[in-house]
Parts: sequence; structure tokens; C-alpha cells
Amino acid sequence: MINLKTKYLGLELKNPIIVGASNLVTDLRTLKRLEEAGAAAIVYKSLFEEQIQLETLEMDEQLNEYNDRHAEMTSLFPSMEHAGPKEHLMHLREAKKALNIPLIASLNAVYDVTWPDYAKQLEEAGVDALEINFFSIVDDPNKSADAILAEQINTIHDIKKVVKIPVSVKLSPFYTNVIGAVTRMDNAGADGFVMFNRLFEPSIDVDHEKHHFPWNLSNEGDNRLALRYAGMLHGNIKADICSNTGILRGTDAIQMILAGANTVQVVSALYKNKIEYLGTILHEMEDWMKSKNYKSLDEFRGKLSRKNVTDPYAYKRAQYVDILWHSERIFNRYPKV
Amino acid sequence: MAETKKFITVDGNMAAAHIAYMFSEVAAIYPITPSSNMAEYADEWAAYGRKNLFGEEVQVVEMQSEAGAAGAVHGALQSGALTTTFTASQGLLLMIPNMYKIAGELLPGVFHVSARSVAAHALSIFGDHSDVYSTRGTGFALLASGSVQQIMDIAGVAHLAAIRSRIPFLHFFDGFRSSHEIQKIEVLSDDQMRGLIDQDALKKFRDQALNPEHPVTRGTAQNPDVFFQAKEVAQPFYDKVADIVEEYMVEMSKLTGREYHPFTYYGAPDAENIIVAMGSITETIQETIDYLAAQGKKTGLLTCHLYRPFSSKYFFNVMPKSVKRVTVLDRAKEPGASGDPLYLDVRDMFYDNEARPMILAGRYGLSSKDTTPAQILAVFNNMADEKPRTHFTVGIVDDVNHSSLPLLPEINAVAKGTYEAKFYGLGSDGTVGANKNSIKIIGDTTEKYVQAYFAYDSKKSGGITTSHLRFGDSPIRSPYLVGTPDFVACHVPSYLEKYDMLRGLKKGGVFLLNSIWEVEETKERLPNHIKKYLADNDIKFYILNATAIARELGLGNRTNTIMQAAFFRISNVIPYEKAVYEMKKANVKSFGRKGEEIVKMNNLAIDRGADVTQIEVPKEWSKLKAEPFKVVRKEAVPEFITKIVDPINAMIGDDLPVSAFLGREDGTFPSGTSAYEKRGIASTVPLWDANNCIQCNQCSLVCPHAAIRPFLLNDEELAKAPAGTKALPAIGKEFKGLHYLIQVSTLDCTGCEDCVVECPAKTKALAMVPTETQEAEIERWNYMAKEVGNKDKMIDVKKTVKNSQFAQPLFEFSGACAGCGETPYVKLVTQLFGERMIVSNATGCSSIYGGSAPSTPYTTNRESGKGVAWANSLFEDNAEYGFGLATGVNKLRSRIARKLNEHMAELETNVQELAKSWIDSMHDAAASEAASNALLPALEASKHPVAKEIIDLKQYLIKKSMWIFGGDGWAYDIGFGGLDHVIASGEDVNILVLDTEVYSNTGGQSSKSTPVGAVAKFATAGKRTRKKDLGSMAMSYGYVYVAQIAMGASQSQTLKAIREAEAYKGPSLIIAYSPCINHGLRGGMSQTQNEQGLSVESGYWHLYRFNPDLAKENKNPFQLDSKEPDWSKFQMFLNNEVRYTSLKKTFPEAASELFHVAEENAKWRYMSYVRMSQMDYTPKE
Repeated sequence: MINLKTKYLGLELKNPIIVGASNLVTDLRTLKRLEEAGAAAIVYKSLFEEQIQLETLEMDEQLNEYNDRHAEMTSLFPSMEHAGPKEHLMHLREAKKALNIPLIASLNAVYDVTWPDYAKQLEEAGVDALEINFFSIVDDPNKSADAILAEQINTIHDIKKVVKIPVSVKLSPFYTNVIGAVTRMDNAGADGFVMFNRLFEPSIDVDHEKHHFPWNLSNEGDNRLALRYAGMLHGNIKADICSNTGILRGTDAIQMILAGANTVQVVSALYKNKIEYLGTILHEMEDWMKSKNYKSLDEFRGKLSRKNVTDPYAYKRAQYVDILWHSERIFNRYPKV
Repeated sequence: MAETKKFITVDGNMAAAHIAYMFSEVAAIYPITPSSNMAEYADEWAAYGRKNLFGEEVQVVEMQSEAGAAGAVHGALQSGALTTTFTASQGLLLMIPNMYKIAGELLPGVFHVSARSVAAHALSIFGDHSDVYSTRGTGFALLASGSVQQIMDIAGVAHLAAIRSRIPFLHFFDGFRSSHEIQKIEVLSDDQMRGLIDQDALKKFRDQALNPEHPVTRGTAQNPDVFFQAKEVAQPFYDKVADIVEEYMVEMSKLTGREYHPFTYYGAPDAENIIVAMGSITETIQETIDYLAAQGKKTGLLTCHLYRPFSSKYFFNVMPKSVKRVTVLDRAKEPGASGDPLYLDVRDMFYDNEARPMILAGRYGLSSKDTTPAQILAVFNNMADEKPRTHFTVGIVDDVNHSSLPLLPEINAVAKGTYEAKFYGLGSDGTVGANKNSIKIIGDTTEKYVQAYFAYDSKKSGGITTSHLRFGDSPIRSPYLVGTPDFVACHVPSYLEKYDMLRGLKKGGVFLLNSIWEVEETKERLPNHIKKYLADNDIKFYILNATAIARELGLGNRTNTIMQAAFFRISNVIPYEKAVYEMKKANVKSFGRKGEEIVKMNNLAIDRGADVTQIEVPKEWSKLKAEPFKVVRKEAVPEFITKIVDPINAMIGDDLPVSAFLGREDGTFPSGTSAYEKRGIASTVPLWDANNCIQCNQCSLVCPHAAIRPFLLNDEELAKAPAGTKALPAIGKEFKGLHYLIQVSTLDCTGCEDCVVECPAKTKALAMVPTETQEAEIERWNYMAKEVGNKDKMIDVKKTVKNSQFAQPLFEFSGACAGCGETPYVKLVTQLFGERMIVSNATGCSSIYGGSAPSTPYTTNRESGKGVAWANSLFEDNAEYGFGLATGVNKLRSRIARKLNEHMAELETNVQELAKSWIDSMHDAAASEAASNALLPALEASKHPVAKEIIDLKQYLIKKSMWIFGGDGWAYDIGFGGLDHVIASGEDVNILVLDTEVYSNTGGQSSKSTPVGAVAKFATAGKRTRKKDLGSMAMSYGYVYVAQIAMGASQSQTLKAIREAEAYKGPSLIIAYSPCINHGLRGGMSQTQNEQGLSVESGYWHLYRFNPDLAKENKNPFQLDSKEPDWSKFQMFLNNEVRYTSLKKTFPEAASELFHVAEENAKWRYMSYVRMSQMDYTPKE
């Protein structure tokens, strides 16, 4: 009997496949279908503080567009305040109610005070864990890398102070020292790392000479970076590892677990196929495990992590692809001292 | 330790609502300008959970009318709950019956009233005391406040004294002047107020509640034997009121440091000449007293705060013994009285006194007529005369009754160091919003005192706004418009020609012009009277091309921020750097980090405001010969236009003397004046491309302003047309040989773009282009409208939508909003029946755009001279008023029939035949017109005396088309009882309900037409109950023609319904779906027709006709005209309008629940129509 159970952020999951934050979750019926298709947990779409700010601005403009034009109608709508995250929290509560599997909230805030405030509100909505999403584009040329990292560490501290549920961090790979950053965040109390964020990368339409925003789905092979870092971090940090990006087949998930991930997140695979494709991924994993005679994930988790491979350079100098591919030969030629 | 004083920058309505909220458990409300905001604040605060002094939210309930609100107040008080309401004008009058009851039962309710004129010869939304005076006999105590600060201080006295005295209070202040004036004032806190409540009295009030635990009977009927005595027994309660008010005023004085009594005195302790007055004018009088004191003149003011009960004790407590002459000023006219109310009260007090000063009466300030220090000076001058005049008016030139005191040049009586600024803007350019922001910045972040008042014109599109701002180091009184500004800004270059903006600008003052021209061109374009003023008065003249900067920065026509920054740059009213810092701070706060681009854009706008250029004013401009400002017209127009319309539109209507209205004493205005306004307010207008046109006339049908029309020209007319006129061979055999074109009136178009959106041609035949490119169309329009006219008599205009548009619209160029969803219906009705229409119009949007003096959009047929006879009575009585009009017309028509019948045998044979024919067809519109036209010449030729009698009644010969127009606030709520009665009467009237699902005109309050889930004022957290099905209620009579229409969903069904309704010989009710700016269409108001289409497609709105005549033919009278909805689009429809989407963002849980309910309701309603449409009307054996 194949056992796909795993633990992530202290949660018992029936398998390592988590549905990542996306718009797939907005419809309760889809949410149920995801659960039925075999998802072990679902990350609800992110609560973006910036979106709330924009919505507030838009609402303000819409409500006040016709103000101050006539003595009797100096305004047309009541003075209303945007409810902030309330709409999101409501949907989150509905989702939690509809699901039996764990539900993880995702948060991307802007201000240092809102991070813990919103985190607390998300916890109160009844979610099982919280994923904080550090995605942001820094365009202040005077801000140092250290300062940015320090802010993020503080955010983790602040959130951990106010919530009891486990907190994972979803981050981008663009740190001067990714391992160092992760280690510091690990020490700050992060319970897991989700690697990595897909960036917002609009393209340019040369015919119309304007920006356009194509669907940014991941493709086969996009999992390599995450694979490397799962391998490098496995066994070196206290937190769990959840790999994402480019998990399109069962074998992609297996690769991640071999490298040391506890879980993986899928999104693009479900957009490219259909929701029920989740079952296919799980079947492929089981088939592979059967073929390898594995009964549980623990038997091979981290087998190919940096800690466990004989070729420690497999995880170094990653950018020198040629050398990497042929490192055994180099070592053969130049035996280790 | 003394509490730190807390200041806020608010208007009078908010100050009153703040206090009322504290002391009330229930508020029963109904919207009426200018009091609506008080109720809105209360509703919003309750929705957001603000607590009153009892630690709870106020229970706010909207009623169907003020009469209903007063009834609810009465009931709530009787149940033991402290209850308040807010109202004005007609609303207050509707409350009067209950006010007698509330007072008679000694219930401590409090009404807050922003006093407003009562409609008489005309409606006015502005302020005077005629409404409050109407309540003198009710038994309410009447308490007056004269400024925003006083409202804050005195409103609490009303509540506290009501509880202690058991006498209900009406606390009032001047509508608009005090209710809408923004001032920086000291705010009173809950804690300061809480301790003042007389808890014993409150307990007694509760103990006396009507309650089965201690049952009693109240409201008995009493007979002559005891009623009188039982009324007199309550007198002791009234005897105590003044003392109780005094006690609380003393308490309030201790709290605030501002001294209050039932009457207060200001001025020289030994003054001989004093004024007695109440309301905001008392502040102006104080300023004038100070102005005179500086000249060594001793004068005084006796302010009345407690007007009822009128206490001579407190009056004489403060009146100096030295007084020899008193002028009592009243802000109301009581026609036929021996004096106006306050004057009579004051004079009466002296009757038994040995020392009786000379008491003079004066009337001022009706309908917020600005009352300035110069006018007060005139009053004091009058008193100083050897033979002073009494029963005078001040502030107008009364050259008919010769009552007015001479107008004096304006004086500057504002406190020293006060900076006065005046801004001329456009409703849509955000000038008022920017000035409110400036006031907030200065008020909230500096020690300075601020005051702001905003004036608007009556147009809902393209209207002018004037902002009157004052800043100073000491509290600002000056409750009048800025008349002697230090700074004038003109935000709209075209105003140079239209308005006398520099009037009163101080010597050495500043004029800032948003100029779209370079320096030299600007100088060239300045009218001579402006040049001369600049030079004569050493004005510093600055220009800034805010229009170009706004476009460059992507701000569209929003020049406001740029001009606001320029004001700070030039005026230095606070340090410029601080102003910029605060403006930017507010900017970041509003837009947050994600709005970075917007923040940047606005910050740039702020920075660019500094780019002002000072223009040296050439000294020789002083030598220019300049006529005083007046409107110059190139073409001859009727005298009424030049004498009345033009001055009012040029904002110098205040200068018109009483004689200008001679012959119009009953308030009558001629039809069709809007055609002379030619406002030219659109920045883009449609351009017709003949090549793409399919001649469907739909552009004309949907145009809210009748500014785009089809014309048919014969060869000769085309040949004479202005050069460049393009036309197509007209399609259709009845138009053979004619040429067709679509003509736009550039100067009457509002640029809404509805016609372009509506154009169904494969490639659009219309496109919006900059207005300045379309000057040639002005002449072409004039030629088409005046010379070519309409060839509508050659076709049946009622037959098709296309035909209908060849008829002349007898409703044109109204001041309705660009894209208005109501006016296309109104216009169509006038095209079909205009020459014999009488309209009764409920107060509301349709009466404001239908008849705001001097603009009258209902007009006459170019050929016949006949047209729409239109009148507005009130809000609540519209159906009854229309019914009365119909009844009167019927009565006189039946007299014609009777006379003809009685004398038939005596009439000449040919007359007999025509008379019989007239009688037979008198109830049939078309036949009656033909019969009347034939009969009239025969009567004129007849020698029989009855012919003369009938000729005297000839205006009644043709059957009239009786229409009753109004909005949903009228039809569903306040006027429903009347509407119900009128349709029940069976009278042949046609009722058109322009259903915007909200009280549009008063700023978007919820009505019973508002559907569940929609956000409206008084439904901040979404309307909780289902929209009333007015049509079904009317159908239940079985003999009322009922239709529900939406032009954008089916133009032909709209036409059919209007046609059938008018033809139906009985009552008809048409409910027309009318998109409105209150809906917040996400695509903008160019989409009103599409939105109507989607409303029906999605199942939000349904089309049907119920024609009782069909039942007589054993057919189902109910026809469901709309297809089965695509329910998947229902939520899409909701998501298309801000009134719904805003609920999702503010009260998401309510939205989630209510939107579901809304869809269920729509389905339920649709299914009920389906069932009705399937009923079998064949006779059963």
C-alpha cells in the first residue's frame, strides 16, 4: 500500500500536493472539486493590501464622481469606508466551511503595521496556516538589500508574535544570499518556505506598442531553481520546504521530494489541464513509487539533497552548467585531496 | 485641569446631527433639502456602529414622507424612546398636525430644522423662516441658532430642555447659509453632555410611556365641555420653559465660554438704536455694529434664541434701558398680516410698557437672499433718520411697492486680518472639492479659523460653482457671500465673457485666471471692463494654463488641484511650503502606495500649480472706456430673455428690481426660454457622417437634450442651406423627393455621447469630435431649427420610432445631467402629444430640469404656437394636482357639450352638424382636434349668442392630453396615496413614473423603489427590503392601463406603451426605467441605453403592458413584452453599477446575502408576470 502522507507546517496532509494561491479558489464549487480531485491542502488566493488600496481609491472615485455639482446633490452616495480585508475574510470563511482539508491563507501586505494586523484577522477566519508572500518590486535605488531583509525578518517576528497558527514564507529567489536569507527567516520563526514566487512580468506588444499581460503559467523545466534550493536547504533548516513552480507531472513532484521538499504546490498544471488532473499527478507519483518499491515519501525524501549526495558540488556553481554537468569527470581528473 | 478644546471643520448640518445623535434613541427621517444631510449622517453613523449617549446606535428609520416621519416620531416618543427628526420647508409643514399632537401630549421630541422657504409663487430650496413661522401655534418650543458654532452649542439645549420641560423643541438655523456653511468650530463631546441630562425627568418620561404594564388611554376625543379646560391645564409647563432653557444655556456657557440666554444683547450698553433678529443675520449685524463702533457710533443687537415660548422677561433682562428705536427684522413675508411675526411679537411686548421705543419692521433675506453688512448699515441708517421708514424691505430694489431701503455700496466688515477668496469653477472640474480640501488643510493643521460656502446654479450639467472662502486668526462670523474678496480665481476661461467676476475685488487684490492662452493673447482676450478694473484697482494679475497642465498630466478636465496649489502659491494664506506639504500628505493618505502613479500625478499637479505667471497690468487700461458688465447678444431675442433670463444666467439676478416681475405676480414664466441659453458646455460633440447613416433616427430618440435631430429638406431648402450642408436622399416612399440629414446643435449638446453609442449603423455614423471644430454647425442648426422646421404633419408620427423623431420635441435643452435616463422619455411624449399636453410635475429632478427659472425647456410648436402647458405644485400632491387639472378641464369641456346640446336646435344647420360631430368625438384626441378645428370657424360665423360663449371656452375644445410626471420618490413613497386614489378614480390621466430607483434630486436617498441590496443614502449598508411592485398594485384595479418600459431594451415597446396609455380612456400608469448618475454606471452615462438593455436581458427589469381594453375582447390584458431573461447575467448587471459594487467593498457579508436575495426577487417577480401572461380570459360556460 502506497502511503503519500506527509507533514507540512505541523499539519498532517494526506499527500504532498497543495493547490497554490490562485483565482481557482474563488468559486466554492471549484474548491470542492479540488478537494475531491485529491488536493491535500489549499492555499487561498492572496489577500493583497495593495489591491485593497487600489479598490479603495477606485471606489472613492466612483462614489464621488458627481459630487459638488448641484446644491441639492452635493453627494450621491453615503460616506462609505472600504471594508479592507473583510470581503476576503468572508470568502475565506466560506471556503473553510466548505472544505475538510486544511486551508492556508496567503497574505501580501504593504505596511509594517498591516502585516500582523491582517495576519491576525486571517487566523481568526479559521484557517489552518498562513503563507506570507514577500513579493514586491523594490524600486527605491537607495534601499539596501540588508534593509529589505531586515524588514522581512521583522515582519515574520511581528506576525509570529500575534498568531498561533503556523506561518510559511513565500519568497522570490532574488536575494543576494538566498540561503542566508532563508536561514535568518528560519531563525526568526518561519515554519515553512514556499519557493518560489512567480514574478509579475508583463510583456510588450510590439504591434500596438503597449504593455500586455499574458498568462504567466509555468512550463516544463521551470522547477529547476526550486529543485536546487530544496536540495540545498533540506536538513539545514528547521522549517519545512514547499516547492512550487513547474510542478506539472507526478515526476516533477517526485523530483522535489527527492531533493528534500515536504510538499509541492501546483497551479499551472490545473489551469493547463483540468482540475481532475490533480488525480493524475497523484497516480503518477504512486506509479513511480511502486516502480521503485517505495511505500512512503519519507523513504526517499531528501535522498538527493545536498546533505545526502556524494557530489557536494552538484549544488554549487549552479550557473556553470557545463561544469556542473561534467563535474564527475573533473573530479575524476583531479581527485580530491 | 481644563479640558483641551477640540476643533473640527464641519458644516451646520453635521454639527446638529452630531448633537441629535448623542441624545436620541430613535430618528425617523425623510429627505428634504437642505436638511437631508443631517438624516444621512445619522444613518451612516448608525450603519457604522457609532454609539449615542446611551451606548447604543440610534435606530434610524426612513418613512414615506415627512408626515410619516412625524407620525413615527410621535409613536416612538409615546413608547418612551427619545426621538428626533430632521426637516425643512414643506416637510416641516407636513409635520404640523403631529406637532400639535406631540406638544399636546407633552412628549420631549426634538426636531432639527434647516429653515427653508415654503413654496408659493415658486419653489425655493434656500433659506428663510417661513417654514418655522408656520409652526408657531403647534406648542413646540422654537429655538434658533445663528452660526455653525451656535448649532453645536444650542442643539444640546433643545434636547436637554425638552427632557426637563416635557415640551418638544424645534431647533432651527438658516437653511444653506448655516446648514451648509463649513466652519472651524469647537466640538462638544459626549462626556460633556452626558452629565447634563436630567435623569429624574428622563425616568418620568419612560415611566409615562404607553405600555400595557401600566395601561392608560391617550388621544381621546373631547367635547365642548372639557376640551378647553384640558388644553389650558398644560400652561404651567410652558411657563417654565424659558427658565429651563436659561438654566441649560448657562450650563452651556460654562462649558464653552460663549454666553447664551433666551435673548442675548450685543453692542453698546447705552445704544439707542438696536435691531432685533434671529438666525444667521445676527452675526452680520454684530459685524456691522463693530464696524460702526469703530466710527464711534453706538448701536446694538438683541438676538432671539428662544422664539417660542416668547419670554418678555428674558427680553427685558438684556435690553438696554437707553433704547429709543428698535427695528425688528423678519426673514419671511406673511402676506396680508399687519406685520411679520417677530415684529408683531416684539411690538406686542411693549404694549403695556410705559417706555415704548419706536418699533420698526423690516424684511430681508427671503430664499437665502444674501444679506450683507451694507444692508444692515442701511437698516441702522434708517433708524437714525428723522422719519424712519417701517415695513421696509432691504436687499432688493422694490420699485413697485417702494418698500426697499436704498442699497448702499458694499462695506468690508469682516474681522481684521480675515482673508477672503472667491473661486469660479465648473461643477465637473472639482473646484468645490479642492476648496473643501484647502479649508480642511488650513482648519485642521493650523491655528487659523476657516469658513467656506459654496453656491451652485440650477443646472445639473455644465453648471457654474462659486466657492466663498475666508481664513483668519479669529473666529469668522460673516454669514454672507464673499463680496469684497482679496483673491478671485477663475477656473474656466470662457467665464471671462459670461460673468462679472471682479465685482468687489479689493484694491491691490489678486486675480488668478486659468488661461489657455499665452500672455499676449490673454491680454487681448480680456474684456475691457476687466482690463479697466485691473488697472483702476492695482490688481495683481496671474495666469496659469491649468487646462493644458491637467491634460499633460493625464488629469482630464480636473484642473482643481493645480488651481488649488496656485492659490496657495499666490495667496500665502499659509506658508506655501506647508500648504504643499499638507496637500501632498493628504494625497498619499488617500491613494496609498499602490496608487503611486496617481500620487505622482497629483503631486506633479501640486508642483505645477507654482507655474503661475504674473502679467503686468498696463496703466493705460485705466483709460479704456468700458461699459459695466452686461450680456451682449448678437441676434434679436425676446425682451423677456434680455431683461430676465440673461441677467439671471449671468449671476446678476440680484440686481433685478421688483418691477421686472410685474405681470408675472403669479410666478408664470414663458415657455421655451432654454433655447436662448446656448450654453456651449460640451467639450466634444457628435459629428454626423452621412455616408454611414441608415436614417433610423435612434440618435435623436435617445438624446437627453434634444440636441441632435433629423431634418427633411426639399430641394429649395437644401439649396438655401449654409454652405457645406450634406444630405442624403430620404429613405421611405412618404419622403420621396426630400433630403435627409442629422443636425447637431453644438451649443446645446452636453457631450454625453449617448447618440454615438446608440448608433446601430455597421460603421458608426456619429463620432465625438472637439467642440471647437464644429462652429459651422451653429449656423446650420439655426437654419434647420428656424427655417426648415419639421415636416411631421405629412406622416403619422406615432406609428414608428423613426417617424416619432421627425416631430418637433417640445422639451429641449434642459439642465438635466449629461446622459440623463429620464429626459428621452419626456421628450418622446412631447413629440407625440406636445401640442395638447398639460403636465403636472412632481417636485424632483424632473421639475428642476423642467422648470428652474429662468430656464424653461418645455416649449411650443414652431408652426402652431401650441405646446406643453407645464406646472409643478408640490412633491406629495402631484397626482392630485394633475387630477384636479383634468377634472377642471373636463368640467369646462362638459359645459361646452351641455351648451351645444341645449341650444342645438337653435343653431344654424351647418353649425349643428359640426357641433354634433364635436360632441361625438370629444373624448377622442385626433377626432376632437379635427372636429374642433372645423367647429371653431363655424361658431365664429354663427349669430347665436351661445356661439360666443363657446368661443370664450375655445381653449377647451380640443381634448387635452393629461400627464402626470414624477420620480419614484413621489410615486412609490410620498405621493403614493394620491397616485393610488387618482388611478382608482378612473379619470383619464396618464402617469409617467421616471423610475431611477432612488431619490435622485435630493442626492440619492433610498425609496421603496430601491431594490434590495442597492446602496443609497438611508440604506448605507444596502437596502434590506424588496422593491415595491407598483405596476402590480395598479393592475389590481383591473381598469388601469399599466406598462413597464425601458427605452434601451425596446424602443418600439416604449413607443407602443406610451401611445396606448395616452389613447386609453381611463387612468394609465407607465413606469419607465431611468438610469441615473446615482447608479454609478461603470461605463459612464454614455451607456444609459445599453444599461437599460442589459437590465431587461438579465432579468433585473421586465417589460410588460396591461391594457384593460383587451379584457373586454376576452383577451388577456397582460402582455409580457420581454423575453425570458438570461439569468446568468443578473449578477453581471449588479456588478456593472457602483450602487451595488460598493456594497461588496464596504459590507461584503450583506452584499453576499442581499445580491442572492435580489436575484431570487427578480426571478419571483418575473415568474409572477409569466403566470399573469398565461391566464385564460376566454369566457367560461
